[in-house]
Amino acid sequence: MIELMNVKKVFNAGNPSEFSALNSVNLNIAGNKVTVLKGPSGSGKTTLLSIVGCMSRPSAGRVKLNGREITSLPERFLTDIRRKTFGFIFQQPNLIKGISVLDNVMLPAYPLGEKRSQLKMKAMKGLAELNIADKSASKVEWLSGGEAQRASIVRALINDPYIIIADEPTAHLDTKLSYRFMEIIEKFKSEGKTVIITSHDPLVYESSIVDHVVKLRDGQIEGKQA
Amino acid sequence: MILHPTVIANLLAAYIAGGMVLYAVFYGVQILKHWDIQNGHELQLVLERRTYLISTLLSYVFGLQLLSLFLYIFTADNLTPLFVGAMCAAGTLNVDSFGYPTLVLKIFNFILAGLWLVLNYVDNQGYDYPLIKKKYLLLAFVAPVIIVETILESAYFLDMEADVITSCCGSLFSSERVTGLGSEIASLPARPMMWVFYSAMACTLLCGIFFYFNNLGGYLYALLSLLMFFISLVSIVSFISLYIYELPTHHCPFCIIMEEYNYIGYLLYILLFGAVVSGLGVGALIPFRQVESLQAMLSGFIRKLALASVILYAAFTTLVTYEIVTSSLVISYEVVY
Amino acid sequence: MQTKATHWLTLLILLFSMDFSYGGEPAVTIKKTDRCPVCGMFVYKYPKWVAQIIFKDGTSYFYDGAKDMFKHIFDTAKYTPGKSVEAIKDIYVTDYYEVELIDAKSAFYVLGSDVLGPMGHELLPFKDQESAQEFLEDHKGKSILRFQEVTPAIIESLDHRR
Repeated sequence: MIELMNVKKVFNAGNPSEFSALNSVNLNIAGNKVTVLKGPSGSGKTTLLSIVGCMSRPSAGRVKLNGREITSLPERFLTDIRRKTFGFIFQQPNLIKGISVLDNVMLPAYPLGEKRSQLKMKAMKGLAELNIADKSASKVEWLSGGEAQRASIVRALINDPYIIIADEPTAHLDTKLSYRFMEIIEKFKSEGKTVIITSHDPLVYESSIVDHVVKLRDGQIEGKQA
Repeated sequence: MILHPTVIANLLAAYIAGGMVLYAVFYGVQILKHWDIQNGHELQLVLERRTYLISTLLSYVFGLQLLSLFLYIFTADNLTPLFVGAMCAAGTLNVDSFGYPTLVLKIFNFILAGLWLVLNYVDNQGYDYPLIKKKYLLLAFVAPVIIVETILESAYFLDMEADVITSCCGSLFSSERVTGLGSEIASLPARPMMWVFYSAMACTLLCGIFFYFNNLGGYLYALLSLLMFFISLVSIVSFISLYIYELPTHHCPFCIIMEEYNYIGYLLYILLFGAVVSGLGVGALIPFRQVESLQAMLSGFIRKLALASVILYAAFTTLVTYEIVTSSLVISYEVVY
Repeated sequence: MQTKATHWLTLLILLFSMDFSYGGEPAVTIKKTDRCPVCGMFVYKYPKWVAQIIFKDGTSYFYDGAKDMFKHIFDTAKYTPGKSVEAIKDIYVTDYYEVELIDAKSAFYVLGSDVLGPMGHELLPFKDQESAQEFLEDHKGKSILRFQEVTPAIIESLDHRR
């Protein structure tokens, strides 16, 4: 599904503060599986994740999505693919203060121009599935940690992406909520979605739901490469 | 040199355009040499990022280039009070030997700039930069011409002296003076030239409409629109100007831009230049109809270009016909030879 | 003293009662759209150089200098098809010093001076020999011509001087 060929990422190239985040990464991420990128902080997990999710471009190397090369795409095409293919769940819920939960959840769909009434229905349905439908009109500041995380998950799903990307999703959740999160991931898998998670939480990478664990250290994959 | 705001604006625009074009060409050459979308080497990715910047820059530069043609004529018209014997841009352009050559190059560069903008727009619609090499090849060709134009334009303005007596357009475009392109065109007989103009225009418009509906004859249309461009310019000097001025001997193509004639010259020239660029754009894009990443949009876009060209030529003809019909001048066979 | 004063008074009265108009008021309202039929210049921009020809049928034309006026006279049909020299009734030029219209046929024209008109080298009209001579000396003029002495060759030579 997702192929990375010789991917390198260097920040501040040419300057004294030049930093190589990824060094020659070759990776295949399988479809309809849960893959976890594991490694200490600074190993390049988040950088790798952002390249996979079309959020940044590598300094060298190519990335293919379903056989289609995406790193050379002009910006407008890349944006289009990113919007339709990926759903992003971050460490922090990153909900926008000042607007309601429902508005937050519908936000990523605005550029696609869907009819507002239909979009609202979709959003409410998503919120209901995660049991926070009653909070739809609330301001995001009033949500608890777990509720906020769930709202951000609904937001990630609003465009029906078939790949979910989660960056350290359980970092600010307690054990119970973390287990609940993994159950949601299992649901995604059963719906045919592909999930890529970065985590250094054993609860995540030792879970039985996870199909493949990729170990990263200092910008390179340890051990046998997939 | 005359420190007039319009002169400064012209030179500034020319230097900015020239500078940006040089910068772009330097990287463009790199792109032409090393571009290979298949490989993932660092240089390739750097080039991919860079072409985004360069293309955006050049879009503005070439847009500026389009405007600079009209700014140039406007400046020449504006400076006429400074020169004895000049009453319109024709006289101002004649104050030193660089005025008219600069104008010719500006016209040439207008067309090239317009074509580049068309190519650039289409290239941006494909996901794999399908026209990138053609685009930068065209740039490599256009760049030296723009540099030469900038040099000539600088020479023109810097060489300008206020105490020069220049020729009036009445003599530059008079049918009496034996020498000079202006008078050769002016002495073309008006009535036959009208026939040439209208029949050529009819052919061109028909060809364009045929292409729009049947997608055949694109190259022919491009050729016809280029031909029509020259015929129209000659016609303006030969007979259209006579009707606008209502003077049987005044052939000047520059007086029509003056305020006293309601600036109609600008409108005529904008229509004409727009028509030729879109017409030539049709011919330039036809070879790429088979490119995969452009399949979805190219045929439709080419047809739209052809339609735009046809509409602009039709508007030009309508305006010309209106001027002829409402003019109080009557060209009779005996008088205008 | 008495007679001298009376003389001066008579002179003054005579002076003021003299009529300075000359056979019919020329139409001096120049419209913004009036153009010289020879070169197409807008005449209103150059009020000091205006020349005028009135035809017998009432039509009149303005020029941006005496030179263009002469050009029209020498080839009337070219610039105004259907009109001929014989149909001209009155011709006026602007006296350079007085800046008012005077009869062209009785004017004195200075050639070769360093004063340039809108059309470049010009014939500068004056109402009498004295003012023409004065101008010639002040402005390095070469010759003074009467109306009948102006020929197409002279006009052409004015055009070809740089």
